[in-house]
Amino acid sequence: MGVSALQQQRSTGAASDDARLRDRLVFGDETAFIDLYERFESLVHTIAARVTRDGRAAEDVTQEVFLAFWQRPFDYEPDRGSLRGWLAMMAHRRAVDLVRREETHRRRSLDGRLYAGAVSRGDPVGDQVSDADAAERLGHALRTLPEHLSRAITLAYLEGHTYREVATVLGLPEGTAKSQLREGLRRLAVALGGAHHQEGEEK
Amino acid sequence: MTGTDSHETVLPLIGAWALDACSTAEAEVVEAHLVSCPACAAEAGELREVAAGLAGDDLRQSPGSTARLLSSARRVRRPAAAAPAFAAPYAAQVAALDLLLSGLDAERWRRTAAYEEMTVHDLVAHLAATDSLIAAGLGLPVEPPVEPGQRLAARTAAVLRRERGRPAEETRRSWRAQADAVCRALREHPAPATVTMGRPFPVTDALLARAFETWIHREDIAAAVGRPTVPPLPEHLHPMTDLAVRSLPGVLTRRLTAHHDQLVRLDLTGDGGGTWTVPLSLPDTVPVVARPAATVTVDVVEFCRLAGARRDPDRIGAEVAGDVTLAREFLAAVPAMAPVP
Repeated sequence: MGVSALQQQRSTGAASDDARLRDRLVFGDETAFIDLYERFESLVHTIAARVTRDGRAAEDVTQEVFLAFWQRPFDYEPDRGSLRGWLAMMAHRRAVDLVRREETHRRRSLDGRLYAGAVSRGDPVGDQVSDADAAERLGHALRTLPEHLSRAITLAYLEGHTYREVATVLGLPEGTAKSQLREGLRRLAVALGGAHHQEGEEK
Repeated sequence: MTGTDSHETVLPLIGAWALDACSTAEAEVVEAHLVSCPACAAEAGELREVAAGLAGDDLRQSPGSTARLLSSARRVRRPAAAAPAFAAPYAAQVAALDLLLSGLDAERWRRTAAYEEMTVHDLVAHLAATDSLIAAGLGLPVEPPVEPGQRLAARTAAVLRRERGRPAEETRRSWRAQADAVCRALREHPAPATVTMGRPFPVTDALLARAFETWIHREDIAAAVGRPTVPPLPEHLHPMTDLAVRSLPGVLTRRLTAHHDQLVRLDLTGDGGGTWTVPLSLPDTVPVVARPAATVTVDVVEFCRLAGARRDPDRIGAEVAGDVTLAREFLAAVPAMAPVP
């Protein structure tokens, strides 16, 4: 299914549900806030946990994402995309900011035992981020892609690297890294896009 | 950078942007371009949706996170007050206006927002003034005390004198506290049948009228300070509209004296709308014939703005049928009802 067809689907029920939920937050509806949290907490938290690899930091990011939306509901503009996509973006940006701020240093020292690092903190969320689990999840989303594309996307999205860093890690020209990221996502959009939208509308 | 140059720069970056893998400067270029390029915006939106699924959604937070979030949420922004159903539209409008007022700087508080002379600060004091008549009617303490038989304009003048000497944020806090106290009193005690706001109102209508006025002034303030706004939720808009339509015959009976025995059908479109048949006089004065002489079709939100005297009846996007002259006279009379005192 092409991008335009998906955009059209988006303009129907799911979009107005998202707009209504946003509006209920504008009107201070605490029940709507709880509904929102119950629907998207695991999405937001999983993104934060996978990127930060730190259960405590992930909980902080998750709380910040929902609190920011409660305080500034107009930051989400329903015309521009789904609430799910927007919340995921907010979670990812905060998590990536945290990771990039913290260091280069810590990540390098943990490289190769990243997941072990989270587990060693001994908090229950960190424990959930096991190597096998991550591999399985990523495999599920990225299995359809050739190895070089899924590797580039994994480095960028889940490890928080810029495309320039991806290029360095993979020994590619920057332009190639950019186009691999775009190509990988476009292929996933075709393969998975329809499924995502159906899932969004059921909820 | 021209539009074409921008497009050529942005297109290859869209994947990296959707993955938050650009530099800050590049992300800004992309986002500026998306506003003006529907093709790139469509692709960017679609790739964002895909990115949202990359991490999965299988991890849960530790127990207690919901309670922790709710307690933080209440601290940073107070939710709408719990209230009986007839006061829920009011509680919601109050919460939305309070959101709009959050973090306003001194210059915005001083901007003119309505009636050519009322600032944002004045309008909040004005809302508190009329609300205080309900508060007083419920036995709550109000400052300054309500004088017996005090008219709406005199009440606003008295409260304005007091509030203009206080910081705007204090006016905002006491307005909100009073509104929440009204909701609490309505929830916890049996309400009186009527309250006096210039004249006696059934308490249910009084709360709908307060919701209506709070919304209309919220739109005034949003326009003045350049912040976004949304109309009431449909389930709140409907009873507020119904109040406005029920108030019409009392106004029309004075304005449309030549048409006392007629009816106008009002089709208000959009969520929260509906169809009303409006007698052009108070029902007990003249018996009415059954068929509407004219039909007016207009968006429900626009009708409410007209009823709040925030639209020009000659310019509103209404369709009229039947007796067109009558329909136009009807529309022209709507702003005179002023559910917004």
